[in-house]
Amino acid sequence: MRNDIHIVLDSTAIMGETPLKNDPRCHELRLSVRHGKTEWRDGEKSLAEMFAMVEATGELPKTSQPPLGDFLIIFKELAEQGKNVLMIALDGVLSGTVQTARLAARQVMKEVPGADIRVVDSLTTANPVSGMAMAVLEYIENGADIDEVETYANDLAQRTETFFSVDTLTYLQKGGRIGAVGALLGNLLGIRPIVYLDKKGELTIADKVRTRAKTLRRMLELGEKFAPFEAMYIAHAEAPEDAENLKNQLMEMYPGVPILVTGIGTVLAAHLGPKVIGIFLRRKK
Amino acid sequence: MKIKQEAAIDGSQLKMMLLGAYQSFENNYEMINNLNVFPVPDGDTGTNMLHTMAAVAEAVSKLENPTIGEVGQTAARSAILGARGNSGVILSQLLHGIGKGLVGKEAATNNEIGKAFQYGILYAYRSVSRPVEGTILTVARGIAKGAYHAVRDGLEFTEVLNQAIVAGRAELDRTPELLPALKEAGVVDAGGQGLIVFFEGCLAGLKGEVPPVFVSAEAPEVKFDLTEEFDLEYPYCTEFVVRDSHIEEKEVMQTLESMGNSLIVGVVFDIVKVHIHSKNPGAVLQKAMQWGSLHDIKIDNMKDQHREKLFAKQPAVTKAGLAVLTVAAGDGIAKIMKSIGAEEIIYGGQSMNPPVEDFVRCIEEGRAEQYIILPNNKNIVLAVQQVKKLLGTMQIDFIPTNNLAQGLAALVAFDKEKSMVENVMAMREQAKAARSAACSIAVRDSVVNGIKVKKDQYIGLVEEKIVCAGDQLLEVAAETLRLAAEGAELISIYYGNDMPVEQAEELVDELKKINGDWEIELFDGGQPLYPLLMVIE
Repeated sequence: MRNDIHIVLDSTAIMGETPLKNDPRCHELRLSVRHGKTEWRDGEKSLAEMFAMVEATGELPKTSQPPLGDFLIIFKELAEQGKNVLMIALDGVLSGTVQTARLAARQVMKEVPGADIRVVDSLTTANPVSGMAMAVLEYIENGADIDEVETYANDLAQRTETFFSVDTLTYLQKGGRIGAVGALLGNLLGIRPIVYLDKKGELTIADKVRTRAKTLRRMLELGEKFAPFEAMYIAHAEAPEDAENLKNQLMEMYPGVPILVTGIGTVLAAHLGPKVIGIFLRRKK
Repeated sequence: MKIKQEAAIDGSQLKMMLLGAYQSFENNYEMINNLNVFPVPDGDTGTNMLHTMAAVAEAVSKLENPTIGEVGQTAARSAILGARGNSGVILSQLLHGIGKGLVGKEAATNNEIGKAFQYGILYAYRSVSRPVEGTILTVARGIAKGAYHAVRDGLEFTEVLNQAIVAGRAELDRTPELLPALKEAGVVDAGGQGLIVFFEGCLAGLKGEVPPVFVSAEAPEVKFDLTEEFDLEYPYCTEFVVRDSHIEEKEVMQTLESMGNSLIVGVVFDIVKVHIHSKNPGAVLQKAMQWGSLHDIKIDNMKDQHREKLFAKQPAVTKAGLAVLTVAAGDGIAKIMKSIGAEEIIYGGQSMNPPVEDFVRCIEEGRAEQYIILPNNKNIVLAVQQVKKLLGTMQIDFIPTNNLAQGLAALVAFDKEKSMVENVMAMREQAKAARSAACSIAVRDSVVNGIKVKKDQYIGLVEEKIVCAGDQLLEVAAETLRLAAEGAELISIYYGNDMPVEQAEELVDELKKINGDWEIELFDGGQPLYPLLMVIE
């Protein structure tokens, strides 16, 4: 096992629920959530706890990216150990994390001679980002250098297609990161968008539907045009039955393609609300 | 064969004929309405034709000592703008043809007026893309045939009309043989009857049997969406007709374009009709005087209009982007349509088909550069088609939505950021897939599709077809849903303006008891005539 290249992910990639959990080469930077006077790092509270707080107060939580200092500390530590670093961050349209990471990387590379830190925008979020890290680790074993690794990670990001659907529009509405989805908010029919994250990282509406069952069906249909796939991911906020259902259908549609199902962290859930569910399909080269 | 060549009919006589036709509709429109085959409160044929003729009568009654060409032209224009419903549009095309046949003429010989009426019939025939026998078109053909023979035989024009009516009546009586639905209901075609009423009126008017007194009919109330006021850059709504001109439409457009907005130019032979909102109407008229003689000049300060009439929403200063103009049958439906992205709303639906003019005005005064129109009712589709013809394909397109379900589905698919062409394709697709049902109240006894319907009974409709009838709304609603909602994930029920919310809620509770699988959402639609409109997804 090579140990000269380390990977840093942000907490929305939820690596703790993936095979990366105990890999010493993987590190996590945690975003934070604030609700009223309570503040916590992603992972310190459960979704149930957070949604109960929202229920009790009617107030939605706010989130913030990891402080610059956290990036500096981890990058510096790794650089001083002589490791090359690849950070794969969540979509730069959704969060400023990737910007801060680049800033921190430049600073550390100036301060630590020989430091090499690469930052890649995943153009998505949630468990497929951990999936990218898993693919990168495999790739490293074949003898790739840091340049090749960065190119490969960018390629993985380009090949990952993201669809998700929220169960309530309230969280998206108040969160402010909605782009085109905004036009649908507050409609009297309760139409829900199926959101597609395009390759600029922007939220676009792939379809608009009114029932949960149709939402799930349409996500699968919309994904079909990107087949064949090399990996599939499902992420959800407390919707295990729907996730299971989607998983079975995906496995039937694309037999033999590995699939990973996990929850999402409180940071994403703070913007997307309960029962949000997404599918992420990584196209074959 | 002898053909009389001396002028037989002049402008004033044609005017009398048209006024006679209007009066004829006034006397008979209810009778025509009662011929509706389906016991649905339909987009009433008689009322639509009456309103269309009312616009004509109002316009021609203002003409003093007109030439026959003027009367024909005025009638054609006003009919197109006042046309309501499919039958109204067909009637307007009839007048358009007559107008074309008479254009530029001081008076007409028997032969010429006979030909003009034949033109009219031809135009009426052509305005329907897929002619069905047993309808107004069959009657139109009969009339044309009768008129043709009479003209050929050199008869007086009154006699030409007489013969035409006789031949038309014979065809009208045959319509039940051609269309089983008519036979089943024991009636003749309403539109065809309307055509006879028109010609009978013309004849009476010509003979002076109907006094040419113009009585204005009460137009249905048309509401506009009023949200804000803004300053008018071009306050003077200026309309006029230029006669004896040889100028081309393009040149008129180019010359006037920079002088204001909301410019509409119509050129028929040597007649130019201009509508423009300008800052300086004097300058516009001065230009126009170079093209020919000016007539029917009308200048309104729209600031006054705005104060006087609530619905005179003022034109936006700059028009940009793409928007949806949709027809809504009730306040609740309008609100919902607004919330999912409709920019402009015109109220209308069954038995209140908005006239072409309302669409034109709404679009002229709207803020968008391009509009996609959703008629949301079968009887409004033709009028919307006419709007597209009048304003042009660059500015207007429409989805032929027949009901609320199709309209909502199309509206949901609308994406402001995409082009008109892309939107129309996507919206058509969605509209096609929409499933619709409704409950209404029968307006007459009838047998439809083997179902016996009594007046005032509730009737259930699936995609505009009657599927059941009964005395209790609940049983009819349940049966309709049983037939329409198989495999449905969501049923949205829009309750009408005559139903209190408690009653609607109770009904939904009862429906859920009948079938626990039905997922039902209830909305206040506010539409008349239909206690329940249902959208099935």
